Amino acid sequence: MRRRKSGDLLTEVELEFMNELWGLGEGSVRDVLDRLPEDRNLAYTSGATILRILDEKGFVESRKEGKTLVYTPLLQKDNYQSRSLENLSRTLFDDTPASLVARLVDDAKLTASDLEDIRALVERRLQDDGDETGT
Amino acid sequence: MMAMKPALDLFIDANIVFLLAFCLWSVVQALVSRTVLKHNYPAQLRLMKIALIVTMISPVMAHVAVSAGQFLWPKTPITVSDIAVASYLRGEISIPAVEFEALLNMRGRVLDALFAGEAPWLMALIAVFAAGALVQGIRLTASAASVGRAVGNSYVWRRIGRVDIRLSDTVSVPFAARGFRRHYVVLPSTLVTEPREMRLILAHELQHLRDGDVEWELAFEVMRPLMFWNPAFGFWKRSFDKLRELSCDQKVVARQRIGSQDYMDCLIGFCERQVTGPLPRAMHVAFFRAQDRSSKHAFRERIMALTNRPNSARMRLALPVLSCLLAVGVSLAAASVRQPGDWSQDRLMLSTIVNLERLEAINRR
Repeated sequence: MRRRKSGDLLTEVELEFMNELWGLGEGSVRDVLDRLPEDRNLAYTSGATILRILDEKGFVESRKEGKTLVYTPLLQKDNYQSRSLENLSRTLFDDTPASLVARLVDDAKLTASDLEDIRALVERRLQDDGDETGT
Repeated sequence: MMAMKPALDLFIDANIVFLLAFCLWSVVQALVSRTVLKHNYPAQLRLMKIALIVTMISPVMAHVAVSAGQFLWPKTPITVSDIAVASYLRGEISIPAVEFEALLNMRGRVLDALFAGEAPWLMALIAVFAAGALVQGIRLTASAASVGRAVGNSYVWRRIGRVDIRLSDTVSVPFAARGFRRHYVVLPSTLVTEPREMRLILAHELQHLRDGDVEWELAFEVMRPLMFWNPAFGFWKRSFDKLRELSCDQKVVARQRIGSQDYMDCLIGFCERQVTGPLPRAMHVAFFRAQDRSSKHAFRERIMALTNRPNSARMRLALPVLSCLLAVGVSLAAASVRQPGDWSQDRLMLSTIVNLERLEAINRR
């Protein structure tokens, strides 16, 4: 079966399903549908189709347990977050991640605590880089 | 070079017949609008397909018409040039015989001049035509490649016999297409969460495959590089596309036991959301095409067509009569534009008059 190249992004509904699978660790169609909001009202066949496509695309793998297919994510959530941000930076911020961060800091309703956390993250990363170049 | 002359003759005849057949179709359509077939778009599409098939095999049909004419009315001329010669001999055309003969032989003289390289403007015209055909050929190849990519980037959802139903993240308008062996219906993956809409759209695209609409689309597009300059080609294609969609909508509602209100809601809902997505230019049959200016009108017509149920019980006589009328009409049109193969008695008389006129002119000097 043809598999999609790994750099591709998930569609909105696929991301919705992957989020539930990341939360579950692994699960069947019914497990994923049960975690969706009640007003989502998605048919079982639709859920099965979405997970089968995710399987074809190589984002999850499936194994049979009795008559049920159990899906396990092959792509980790943080890997996908990085990929998604890279794509956003490339397509919307002219491939300059600093612009993306600047927009986030300027426009998103960040609290002082959020900004402190970001500063701590940046400082820790800079310190790690300094240690690596020093050694 | 002279071996190309019969091919060019055939090409010119085909273009004239294409134009005449469309005129005949327009007359038949005007008649249809006064019969029980007025809102029966599947029947109208069937009529149009008959007209197109007869047009495509017009060289054979012309031969049949000429043979039948010679058998039934041996002395009645069928070709336009023979009719003109007969009129001239009856004194209904009052120009000198030399000029009349020159008019009759104009096409042959132009072709001779072309092959002898004597007319630079004709060579320029041919070069422009060849460039146009090349551009159309490149566009055709690009469209085929685009459809191939769209199918290749999609995922198999279901297989029904020789039909692959596929889901695509990149396609926003559903379409049906075909490869060498398999047929494809490509649906936007967003439809997965709209099962009711997906069922209706799938029924529409599968109906296109059942009716052979994809093959007709391919036939039109393959002809385009040679026929692009003929206005009749554009007229035929636009009329065919319109009837194809109206017919498909009516058939889906009739065959699948789908309520026309549900189907209308689906069509309107779908068009509200996603009609502006990327779509290959040709070589497929799309659920709805919003790229051209006439799309709003076409959409209104499709909605109106769904409110009219065709009365199939009352069309049993009208359809065969109109089909025969079209087939005979197109065959006669094809026969009428043929170049006369041999010397008829009328032509011999015309030639004698021409020679006498020339002798008279020489004697006067």
